[in-house]
Amino acid sequence: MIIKRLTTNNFFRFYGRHDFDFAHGKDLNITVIRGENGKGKTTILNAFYWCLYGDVTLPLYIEKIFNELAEHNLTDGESNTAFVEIVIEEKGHEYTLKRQRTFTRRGDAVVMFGDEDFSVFYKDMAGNPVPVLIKDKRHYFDRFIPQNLRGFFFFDGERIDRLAKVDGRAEIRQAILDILGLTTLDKLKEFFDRTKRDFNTEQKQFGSEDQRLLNEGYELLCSRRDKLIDEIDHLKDQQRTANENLAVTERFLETHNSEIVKSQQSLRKSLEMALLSIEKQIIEKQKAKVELVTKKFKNNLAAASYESAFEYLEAKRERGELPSDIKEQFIDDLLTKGECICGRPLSKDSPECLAVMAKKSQAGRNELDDAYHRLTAFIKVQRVEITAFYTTYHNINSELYDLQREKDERERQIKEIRDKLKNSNEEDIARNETLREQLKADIDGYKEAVIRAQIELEAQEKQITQKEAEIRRMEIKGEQAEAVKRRFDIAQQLAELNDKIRAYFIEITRTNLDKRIRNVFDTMKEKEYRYARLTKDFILEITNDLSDTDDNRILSTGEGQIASLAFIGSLVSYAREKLDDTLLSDFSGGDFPIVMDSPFGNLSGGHKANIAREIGNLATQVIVIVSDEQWSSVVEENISPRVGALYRMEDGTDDKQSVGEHTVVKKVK
Amino acid sequence: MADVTTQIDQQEELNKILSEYDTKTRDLYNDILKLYSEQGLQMSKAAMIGEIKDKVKEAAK
Repeated sequence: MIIKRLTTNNFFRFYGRHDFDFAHGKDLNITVIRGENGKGKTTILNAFYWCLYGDVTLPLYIEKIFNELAEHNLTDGESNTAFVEIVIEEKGHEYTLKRQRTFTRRGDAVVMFGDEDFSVFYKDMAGNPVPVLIKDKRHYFDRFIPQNLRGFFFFDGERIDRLAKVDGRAEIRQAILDILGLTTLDKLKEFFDRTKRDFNTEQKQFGSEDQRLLNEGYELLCSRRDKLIDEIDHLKDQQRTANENLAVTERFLETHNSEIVKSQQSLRKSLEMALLSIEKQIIEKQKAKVELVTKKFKNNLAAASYESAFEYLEAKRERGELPSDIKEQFIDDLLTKGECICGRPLSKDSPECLAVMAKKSQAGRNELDDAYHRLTAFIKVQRVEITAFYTTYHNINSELYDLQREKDERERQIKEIRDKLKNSNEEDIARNETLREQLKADIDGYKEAVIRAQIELEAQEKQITQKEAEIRRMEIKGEQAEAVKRRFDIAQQLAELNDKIRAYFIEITRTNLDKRIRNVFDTMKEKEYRYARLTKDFILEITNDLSDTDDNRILSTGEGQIASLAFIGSLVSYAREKLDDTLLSDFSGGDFPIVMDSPFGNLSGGHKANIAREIGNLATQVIVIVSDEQWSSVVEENISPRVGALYRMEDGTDDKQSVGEHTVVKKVK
Repeated sequence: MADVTTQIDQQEELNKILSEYDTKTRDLYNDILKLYSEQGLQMSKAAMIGEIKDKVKEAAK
């Protein structure tokens, strides 16, 4: 998909009509939209959101969509529109999507006239626009980029580092599923489960009383499972909304005029990152402790027995009874050879031969000697392990103690910042901080509720599997009953096959993305020894080596941002390749553009240069919205070779500005 | 899982999974997958389940 043009008309700050024609050449694929802070950067991103998905994000309010100056200019009874129009090209077809609201002046008031309108046209072979019949005006664009994925393609560059946090895991996994079409297999799972339920219900009328009870039990379990799935979806939606709102409040604090507030928020951010890492280390250490006790502690319980067995064997050894000095095998070898070690012949029944044979009865038996050696060796190892157990156990405890102290200290510092901001004299700071605290608590609550529901769901699924096995074992009589049972069994097989294919494709996709992320990250990283990886649990991690054992490192904001960009770029490039993948027809990917607001926010010079240089490689088409503050010679020098279009946002003329603040757009390149 | 990167490797891995099932089940699965890919978005959930049930009933005869 290519975004060819964006047109705004009286949309928030943008007075009158403005066209942005976006670059989409092979080499010149970047469009830059520049402007000072407060000139409408976020409004541009929201123009995409509103036109494509019908909403805007804070700090914009949809009620204020109609430009102030345009509103002022309306005479009584006159109407004008606020609209956003986007022209896209998808698989050789050109579509024009337009969303608009009409406003009319009635006396002093300006009111919205009629409903919001959304229309789509495509160009036929002759180039004539043909209207597309749309049933769902909110979700039409989902067929191109689903609403829940828009954050990966139209995003705030400064906030994107969230993907590299633990919380990003679910988002990453879902994005992989959605973008690569793997949700088809999720859908099929749902359909097969439902089909099984229905056939199970049919079975009820043919079986005995016991069988009927079995079918009813199955039905109950399925019903509870479906409710849990709905509940989890609902909780996740709430969590997503809370996360979005949290991002807005944090953005408010990060960009506040007061340097103190800004620095407090920045400090808190790094403290929270450090806290996450400490918590992860604590969990790892606790796991190691449990594993140590589970596997090794039994030796300590048997320590006394080992000691007495060892003492007993030692006494035997000191007395020369164990191990025996002459071996049976040695005697046998002499007899076979027919010669004693002193050189005398050992002919049959000779006194020498009888004497040697008599020695055999005194010789130690091989098995006994072997057993002695094995046992003493084993006891020696256990004695060492018992000592090592206590050393390791104390070391882990001591590390845990240190980590806990570090954790307490970080928490104390975070609380201090929270209290300071909450008790601020400036009302907006105090209000946002209180809201932030509430949102954090809500998010934690949702997370816990999701985990609880997921645990219950897992248990439910296990019981369902058991019941299904019982149903399959059911002996049924009668032609009709047999037919219904066959249906249930087939549906069961289909569901099982679907699960296996789904698991396979998810893993293959993860493996592929892991490689790509590493490569993209390598082109943008500042520290040579850092590596990015996507773990088996779908966690985007930065490590200092490529082994699976290295801990996730504490990231700077820049590294988090780069890791997240590497993930998005990898996803986009993989999805693009999947377009031509004919393995299974429905696993098609797509060619997606990226629209980024403020990708160079708080980055260091090195990171800025790397991102500017590589940003054009992330997708077929990249649109960058950037403030003058973030623009620098480093950025310009590195990004310029790929820039095909450049726009500048400025204040309108002074006389009109005093009537209503507004932005005008100029094409520079 | 083995490092599978090419489409041929992927196809082989997929064939391995499919080979655990009889031809009838495999064909039916592919048939349903194709149906959902081509028409799934236009159909309601109930209609899609209805289609799957019809196909399963046919296969169970």
